[in-house]
Order: sequence, then structure tokens, then C-alpha cells
Amino acid sequence: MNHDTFFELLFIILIFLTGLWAVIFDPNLVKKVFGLSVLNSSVVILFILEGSRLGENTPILEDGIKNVVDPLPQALMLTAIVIGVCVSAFALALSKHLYHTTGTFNIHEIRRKVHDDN
Amino acid sequence: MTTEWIIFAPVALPLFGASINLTTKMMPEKAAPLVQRLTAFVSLGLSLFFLILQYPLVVGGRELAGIIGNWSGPLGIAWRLDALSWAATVLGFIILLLSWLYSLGKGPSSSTFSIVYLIQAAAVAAVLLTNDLFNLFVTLEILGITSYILIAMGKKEAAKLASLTYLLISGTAMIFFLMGVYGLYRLTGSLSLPVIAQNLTQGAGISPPVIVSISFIITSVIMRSALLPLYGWLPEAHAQAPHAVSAILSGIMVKTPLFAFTRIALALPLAGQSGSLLSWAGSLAAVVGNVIAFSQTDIKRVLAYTTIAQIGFIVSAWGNAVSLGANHPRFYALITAALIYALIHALYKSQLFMGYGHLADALKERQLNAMRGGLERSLGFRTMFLFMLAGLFSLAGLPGLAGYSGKILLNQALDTELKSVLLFVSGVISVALAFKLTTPFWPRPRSSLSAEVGPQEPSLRFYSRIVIMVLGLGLILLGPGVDNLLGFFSTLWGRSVWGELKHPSFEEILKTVFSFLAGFGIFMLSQTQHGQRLLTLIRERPKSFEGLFAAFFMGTLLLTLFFWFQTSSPQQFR
Amino acid sequence: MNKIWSFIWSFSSVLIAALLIAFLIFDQAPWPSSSRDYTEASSVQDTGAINLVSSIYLGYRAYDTLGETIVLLLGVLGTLGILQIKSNNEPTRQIQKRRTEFLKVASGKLGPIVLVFGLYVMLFGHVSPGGGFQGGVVIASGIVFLAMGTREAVYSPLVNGGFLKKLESLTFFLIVLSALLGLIVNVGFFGNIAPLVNIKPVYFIVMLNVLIGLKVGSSLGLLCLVFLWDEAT
Repeated sequence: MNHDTFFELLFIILIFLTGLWAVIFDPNLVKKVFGLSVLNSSVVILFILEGSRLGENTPILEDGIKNVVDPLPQALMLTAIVIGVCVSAFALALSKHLYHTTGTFNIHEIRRKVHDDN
Repeated sequence: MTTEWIIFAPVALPLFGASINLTTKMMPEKAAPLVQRLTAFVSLGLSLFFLILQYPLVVGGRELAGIIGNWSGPLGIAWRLDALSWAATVLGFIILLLSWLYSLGKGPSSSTFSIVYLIQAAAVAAVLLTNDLFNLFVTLEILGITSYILIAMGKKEAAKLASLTYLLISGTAMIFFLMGVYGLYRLTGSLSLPVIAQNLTQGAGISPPVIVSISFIITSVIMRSALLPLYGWLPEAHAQAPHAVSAILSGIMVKTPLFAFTRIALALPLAGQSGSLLSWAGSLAAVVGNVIAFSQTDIKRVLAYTTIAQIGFIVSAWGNAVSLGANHPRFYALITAALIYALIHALYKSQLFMGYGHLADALKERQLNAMRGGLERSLGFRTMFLFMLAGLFSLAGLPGLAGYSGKILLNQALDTELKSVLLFVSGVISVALAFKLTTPFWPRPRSSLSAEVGPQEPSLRFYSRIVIMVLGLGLILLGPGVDNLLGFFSTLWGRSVWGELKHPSFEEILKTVFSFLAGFGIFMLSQTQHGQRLLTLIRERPKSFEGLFAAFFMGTLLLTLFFWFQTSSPQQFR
Repeated sequence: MNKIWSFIWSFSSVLIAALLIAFLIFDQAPWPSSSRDYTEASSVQDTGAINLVSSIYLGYRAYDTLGETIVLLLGVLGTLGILQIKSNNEPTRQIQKRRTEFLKVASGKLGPIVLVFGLYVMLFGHVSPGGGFQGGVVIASGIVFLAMGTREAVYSPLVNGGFLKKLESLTFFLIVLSALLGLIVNVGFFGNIAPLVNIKPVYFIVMLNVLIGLKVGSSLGLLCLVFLWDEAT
């Protein structure tokens, strides 16, 4: 693959890993949800970017348009984006609720607090 | 009424029921709950009815396949109905219906609960029907989101944390599943499992991207089944959920992804070999799960950890079957043993969750030691306790009951000596666990017999009672009835499983007696001071959120390396 | 000590993930053209839409789209359910209302324009980039604009949570019905029923786009409103 492609993919992987790091390591719940959202976005970009290498035109067959890009990844990613948004929304609602009941967004402290009540 | 109606009914009906339940908000106040219950009951019941109608379509090992919407071309979503998915769907809907009936008496009663519950039922059917990777992604996500919501309906704050933890690890796993789909689509141009399989064997071949893709896909799916070492999310999730939800989670939600995995493993080349790795993980999980369960003091956590162990049992045989492939003569024997075990486990685990859950609510206490004297303190428990004994003894594997038959079948189906030893050890600890779970039957210690007025007990309503009784009866009948079950499965698969699975020999009976004695011994030992200290040590081992992810990635790495060694060694990969 | 282990687990996870992803992504094989070729050749006949992406998610893979609307429904149900739980411990903090006059006027006036744009994207989805989802998201943002624009004099039903819930329930019911209709008239689950009522297949696509647009718009709008106003409407 050529030079440009390599750097593009590398950049996408970096974004992906940043999101992953936030989900795993950052103790703040809201940042974890951000991380999940970034993970989702990076996968979406990957699918669409790579799918677009196939052709040159947008996949709308107006008169005389040929050689369009692959429409399937775009259709799939529509679904994936919506699923990601809904999961993030629910996660944020849970985080907000846990914040109101424990006073913190820090997952370690929340875990200590809720298990002390047991 | 075409065949397609019958095939898609278990997906369409609960969905339709959910959409009707959604509109009940516009109805007058009094009518709404009645409509909700009626719709839910009718949807679940009719789905089961249609599933029974599907039997002639799959009996004899037949299978049906097609494209949803009947579109031509490579883009459509492929579906497939075969004997195995049929059996799994029937199991799922039986437990769904029973747990729902239980929830009428005890569980959450909000309209949100019934809508989400029905959607979960539809999702179970959809996961088992699909033969397309991206559709599997969507249906697994639906299954996941319904689980997150249902778990979060638990009363304690810990339920919300458990739901969020499960959400984070599961959401990340699904992203990696999507990466796996990316890898496979990129090389084969299709999302449909049979087409991908064909392309891989004939065209593209097995290259590193394919290996990594398949590893990601398999690990993500297996993570939902909570196999060692990926089980970290399960104890809290199952322990904190409402009782009806714990019953379905342990009963079917951990097994459905296993069936999805089977479809992938049997279709794609190389994927099936993961079965041997999983089989070993299962045997280990059987021991580890039961040991940790034994150390717990919270009743629902005990039950949750035993689920991990029982999944290990099931996967030991199941993984072995998958690695042998569908054409191998022992495949159906192993699958049948695992399926029967899964059925029996679903029955007794649901019952234990329901019964002990009620007791915990009645006594307002979830610590096992504090639940002593349960028979006198809880009217509901007193009336149910005979049926609960059936559940308890199934856990222990008492001869004559279903649990015993299940264990025997499984043992006969296994291949390696070491695995049999591991499962035997696990069985011994199961007996110890059963003794531990009888704590509520003991009288209260003298010191606490103060003038304690029993707390106002939420009554065990009619439906809940019926369900616990039905489950108990089922377990009792399945003890001797397992022969009939074997016959049924033989007809279903279209080939006899009799040759492989025999009646227990004298040696096996001796082993059972020994395991009972050993289990009792372990239980007595655990009551000593040293025993208690050891258990506390196990119980309070550090658990971390990051550890869940580390386990996921190490599991994927292990699987990738395993596949790589399989392909680079001279042996042909089927 | 715990922090060290936490770091070790996290770092090793990300390291392994990076390694595996690298093996997966850096691949020389060309992107497969089977989907593109087939849709270029046959989409217009099969579904009537010249937007190939629409023809996929409303035609060939409409079942996935159904799954997606279910996910939206679940997202709303779950979020509303959790946010409605009154927590007794912490008093809810007073949300500082930083809405200035400028914001109210600007976003309030922009709101209807954004809604119109959303409707356009939704209705023309089969011939231009857009469609149900995209249009729905724009409609949702229009709802947010309206909501930020005014609170005291709530003049639009679009900003009323109750109305949005009803709209969502209705559209979900209709979408499920459309899927089942395909079964009833024997073109398969979620098949295109238009040929049977003697209209061009593209009208089925348009209808689905509208239903999905309304569903997505009402769902996401409701979610945003609930987070914005912190109350159960």
C-alpha cells in the first residue's frame, strides 16, 4: 500500500487506541463513555474510508455516474452509529444516576461505596 | 400461512407485542396493565406454539435457509433454521415464559419491564435464526442493551454499577467484533456466513488478518457466555438483577451466544478448532467457578458463581463437539449431552434464583448465615421448600433427579481423563455448595432468638408459586425421564445418540457416592476456623475493572496464537 | 499498589489490542467490489432508489434497520427509566440557567429552519445523500434548538416530551407493521410491498424513510430533552 494509506490507517489506529485507553484506564465514568464513543467513531471512519478507495463518485446513480464507492460499509455504519449513540446515552444516564447517589464519578470510589452498603 | 410465517413468528410476535405494549400509555389507566399482561402472555405463548409447529421442519436433522425479504444478489441477510437452533430457541422461550410468569407475582411490573422483556425474547429468537455476521452484530447488541436495562432494574445501587460495567466491557467487545467483520468482509466481499466460508476455503485462504478477525469475533461472542477467563462481569450482573431477570440471565442469556458461536465455528474453516481450547477453559471454569461460589456469603452471588461453573461444564462437552465438526460420529452425542445439561441447569438455576430470591426479600437479608431458620420465618419459603429441594439436589447431582442424569451424560461424553477429573472435583464442590445452601433450613442459633417480630413478608404470589412448583416437578421428572429425552433428540438429529450414551455403570455410581461423602467432608471442613479464613481469602481477592479488559485481550491473543500454530503445523485444518 | 496493577492491566490490554489491530488492518488485498458492482447494476430495478445506500438499508438489509429502530427505542426507554428514579440522597443541584436572550432568540428562530432542512433530507433520501436516519438526526437537533430557544412559553408540541413519546410509539408500531406486511402478502419478511398495490417500489422506500426519520427524530429529540431539562416529561 502506498505512503498515504499507511499514515491514514495509522492515524485511525491511534484514535482507536486513545478511545480504548480511556475506557479501560480512566477512572472517571463520563470519560469512559467518551472513550466508547471515540472507539465507535474510529471504527466508522475505518469502514467508510477503506470502502471509499474502491471508486470515485458518491453512490447516487444520477445520469451517467459510474465507478461509485462501495455503498455497503456506509449502510452498515449508519446502523453502527445509531447503536453506539444509544448505548452511550444509556451509559451516561447510569453515570448520572450513580453520581447523584454516591457523589462521585470515580469508578473505584463508587465500587467501594456501593459494596459497603451490602 | 406460509412457512416463513412459522419460522419468523418467534421474532415477529414478541416484537409486535412490545409495540402494542408501547402504545398502552395512550390507553386509560385501568386497562393498561391488563393489556400489557395479556399481550405479553399471548406473544410468548403463541411464539412457543409456533416453535412447536416448526418441529416437522427440522426433525431428522433437516435445515432450512434463505434470504430475509427474498432479495436476490449478494447483499441480503441470510437466515437459517436447523435442529440445533430450534432446540435452543425452544429452551429459551420456555424459560422466558416461566420467568415472565414469575415476574407477574414478584418481579418488576413497570411497562418498561414488559416492553424490554419482550424485545429480549425477540432478540433471542433473532440471534438463533441469523446466518449473517452484521445481523448477528445487531441482534447481539439488542440482546445486550435489553440485558443492561433489565439488570439496572435491580433495587440496589450496585445494580446500576453492575449494569454499567457489563455495558462497558460488552460494548468494547462488540467494537472488536465489528473489527472482525471488517477483516472478513474486506477479504471475502460478503457478510453472509456460508459465502464467507466458501470464499475462505476456495479463494483467499487463511492469512493473518483472517486469523485475527476470527479470533476477535469468537472472543467477543464467548465473552457474553462468561467462559473463563472472561467471566468477570457476570457475578455482579446476575447477583444484583431482579430475581426474574437473574433467572433468564443464567438460564438463557449466557447460553444463546454459545449457539451463535457454534454457527460461526461450524461454518468457517479453522474457527471450529477453537473448540478444543474452549473445552479446556470450560473444565477449568467448572472448578474455579464452584470454588469461588463456595467462598461467597451473599446468596445470589453464590448462585451467580455456580452459573460460571455450570457454563464451564457445558462448554467442556460443547467445545469438544465443535472441534470435532458436525460430521464426526461423536458430535451429536456430545451436543446432546451438553444440551440436556443446559436444559437441566436452566431449570434448577431459575428455580433457585426465584426461591432464594423470595426468601431474601422476605427476610430482608442476603447473607446466607443470617438466613438460618428460614423455614419458620418465611411462610412462602415453607410452602415451597419441598420443590426447592428438587432444585438443590439437582445442583448436587443426587441420583434420581435431573442433575444427576445431566452430569452422567456429560461425563460419558468427554474425551480426556484430565477433564473428567476436573469435572469430578467440580462435582464434589457442588455437593459442598448444596450443603451450604441448606443453611436456611437450619434452626436459628440460640443467640438470635430474641423477641424478633418477623418483618412484613412480601407474599409469594400465586404465579410465582406455580412457576417454582413447575420447575421442581420438571426436575423430578427429568431424572428418570432423561431416556425419553435422549430418544427425542435422536429423532431430532436424525441419528441415534444411544450408542454413545449408556446407563451408568457400577463404577460411576461408586464415584457418585464418593463425591457425596467428599463434598460433605469439604463442607464440614469449611466450617472450621482455618476453612473460614481460606474462604475469606478467596472471597476478598482483588477484582478490578481493568482486569476484565485484560482478560478479554489475553483471551483473544491466546486464541490468535492457537490458530496460528494450528495453521503453521503440517496437519491439515479440515 | 492497586494503581500499579490497574496501569499494568490497562497498558497490556492496549498493547495487545494495538498489535492485533495492526495485523488486521495493514493488508495489501484490494477492497472487494462485489457489493458495489451488484448495486450499481440492479438497485434501481430492485428497489427504485438511485441512492445506493438507501437501497441497501431500506431494501436488501431492511431487517438490520428494524433492529436499529429497536435499539433506539431501547435507548430511550432505558435512559428515561433510569433518569426518572428519584434519588433521595443528594439534592439535585440547581442547574445554572445560562440561557441568554441572544441564545434564546437565535436558536429559537433557527429551530424551524433546521426542522425544514431535516424534513428535506428525510424526504429526498432516495435521490440525494440523506435518508431516514440523517433526516431524523437533523430533526432532533432542530428540536433541541427549539427547546433551547424557549422554555417558559412552550409553543410547539415538538418540545413536549409527552408528544414525542407518543410519536415514537406510533412510528415504531408502524415500522413493525410494515415489516410484517411483507410476510402477510408473501414477499418475505420486510419485503417490498409496493408492487402489489400498483405503485412504484420507490414509494415504499420513501414511506420507510419518513417513518424512520420521524422515529429517529422523536427518539433522539426526547433523549436530548430529558438530559437538557433533567425531568421526566
